[in-house]
Amino acid sequence: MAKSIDVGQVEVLRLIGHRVPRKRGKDDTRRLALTEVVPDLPDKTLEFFGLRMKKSLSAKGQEVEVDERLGDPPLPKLLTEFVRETPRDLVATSKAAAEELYRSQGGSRYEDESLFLTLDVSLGGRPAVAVMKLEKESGVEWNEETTPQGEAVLMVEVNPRLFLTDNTRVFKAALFALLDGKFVGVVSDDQQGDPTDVADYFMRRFLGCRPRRSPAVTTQSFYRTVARFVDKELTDPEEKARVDTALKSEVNSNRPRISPAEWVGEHVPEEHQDRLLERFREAEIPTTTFTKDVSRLGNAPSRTKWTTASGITIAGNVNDMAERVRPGEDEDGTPIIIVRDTLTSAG
Amino acid sequence: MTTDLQELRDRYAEIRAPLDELCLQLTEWLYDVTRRASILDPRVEGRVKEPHSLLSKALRKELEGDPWEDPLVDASDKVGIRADLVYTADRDRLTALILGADDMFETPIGVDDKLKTTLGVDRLGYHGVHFDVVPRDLPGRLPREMARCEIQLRTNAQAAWSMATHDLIYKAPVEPGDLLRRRVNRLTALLECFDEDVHRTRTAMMGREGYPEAIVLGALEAARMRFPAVVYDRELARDVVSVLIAGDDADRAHEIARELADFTEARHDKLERLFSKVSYGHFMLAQPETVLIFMMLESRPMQLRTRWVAGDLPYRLLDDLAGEWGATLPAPL
Repeated sequence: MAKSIDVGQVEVLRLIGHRVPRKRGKDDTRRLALTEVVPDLPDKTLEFFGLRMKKSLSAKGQEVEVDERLGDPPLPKLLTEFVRETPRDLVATSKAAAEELYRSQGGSRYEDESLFLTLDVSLGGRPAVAVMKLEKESGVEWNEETTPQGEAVLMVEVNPRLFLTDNTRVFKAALFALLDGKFVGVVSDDQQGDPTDVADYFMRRFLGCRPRRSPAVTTQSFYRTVARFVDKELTDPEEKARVDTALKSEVNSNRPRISPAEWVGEHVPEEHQDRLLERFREAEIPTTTFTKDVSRLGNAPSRTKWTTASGITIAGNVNDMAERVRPGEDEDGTPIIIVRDTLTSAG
Repeated sequence: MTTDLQELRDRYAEIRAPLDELCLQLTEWLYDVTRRASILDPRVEGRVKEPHSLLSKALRKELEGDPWEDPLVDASDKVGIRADLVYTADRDRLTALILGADDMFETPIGVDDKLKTTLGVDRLGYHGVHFDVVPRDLPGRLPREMARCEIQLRTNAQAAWSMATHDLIYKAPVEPGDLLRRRVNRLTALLECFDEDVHRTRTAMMGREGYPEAIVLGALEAARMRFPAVVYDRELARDVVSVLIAGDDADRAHEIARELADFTEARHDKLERLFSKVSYGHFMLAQPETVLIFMMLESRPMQLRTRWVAGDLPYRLLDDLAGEWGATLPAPL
């Protein structure tokens, strides 16, 4: 496996932004509003953008590489040249990238316009480049003023021109660098509810990239790592049953992605969580997120079976088991298993 | 007189260079072991026996009627490594670590605990622990049978006594006589009392409220001061450390302090770049406890999250710092 990008090394040196409208039909004549000059921004502003990008990439980032099946996609070529050149022409690169975004994004009746940023980045001292696409937001500004009568008043005003706040959840970010001569990146999209949006428009059509690790291989590796962990490192039967059922339920669910760190936080007992994350790192499974592809799991088990000390067997579909069957303890500490369901037959 | 001194001198000269190499290797190994065990201020030294010293000892053995068959084989302290330690508890821990180092030394490892072998219950005296070892990995040109080495562990108090008596009594140019011998030997009673009271005081200190947090905070301040710094909120630092050093960690404060030093060394460049933004970046970059948070984000992120939430610290701060470090940390359920 080639080197990975350490998002924590990001330092934003310069940035430039362009307003990118979305066409709302053939008659929409709004055009790109390209800017010509890199603004002289204070360190604090650059740091704000850097931290917002780092938070998004480290929480939701997916490692990507150039999708060679697309031929010679323009954006990787453009950004590779930018990273390699000295001095780096941020204005020209950014304008060309914004035009590429304008071309690649389809029309949407739900979105108005976005702010597209290109960031000249240092990644632990080596040149790198990032792009961010931010949607417009509204917010309220306030000012302390004084009335003509000398009374203090707090004035508030709606500001519809906000693009990035501490709590902005909707934006896309991508960071690229050359590692061992290879153009690689990390991409996050906080609109990941719609996986096709990432795959087709931002990731594929605009960035010309695909996930660096095969989703099928990563999913298989995730499954095997958790299964081995349950088998070898968990000893408590109750914990084993819970985690095993959660694993099978996950691979059988309709959710398009798996976020391993979140999954661990949700399904694995606290005292074992860091150990399983360590196993993921050893197996080079990203802990942020990856696209689920169960094609290499064969017939992923869709049923599971629990057996009690007295020989009672509870079996069922993993999703039903995960949702309806819970091991636990009653008030005096006696182990119990609760099945929340309706009995339909017996004998 | 059977030993050919010239021949012995020549043969010793032939293995001197590999013995020097072995001495360096063992000294570094022992220092590394003490460091990984978070042993306070160890003084680790190694030496190769000087030729005249080996020859003198060979002669003395002959004169005493107990000659060495081959001094290069029989002398077990041609290479001697010594660790002088502050606490007896550290001597005992280091003893266990050396005896367990069967990947480093051939087994069985010889051990001579003077308290058990020489002193017993009714005698006072020097209480060092000596090991007779043969390293598995030897420099070329050193025959295995000539590779026995000695490791000595002792407290600083015992070291002080030993150095003085070595000069005054053991290597005295003239016979000191019984009176002087007794005067020096009776000092060993004080050594035993000294070491024991130091140990008891330390144990009592470690049990005092706030001790583990203070140890970790001290290590954090030392780590943070290696980088561009501004005035920070010490109360906040203490609050965060007391939340994060919980459970078993309270018993391993010194170990965590050593882990912090190692982490700071290993991540120096990344930390330096982050902390260089202290004047305009996130306010937590001024805080020393940030180093502990970054370390836990790498090694124990979920435990960090659990303790942070249990300690009612604002999650937003942790989320920001995870972003700063580029670490994945799921939001609490």
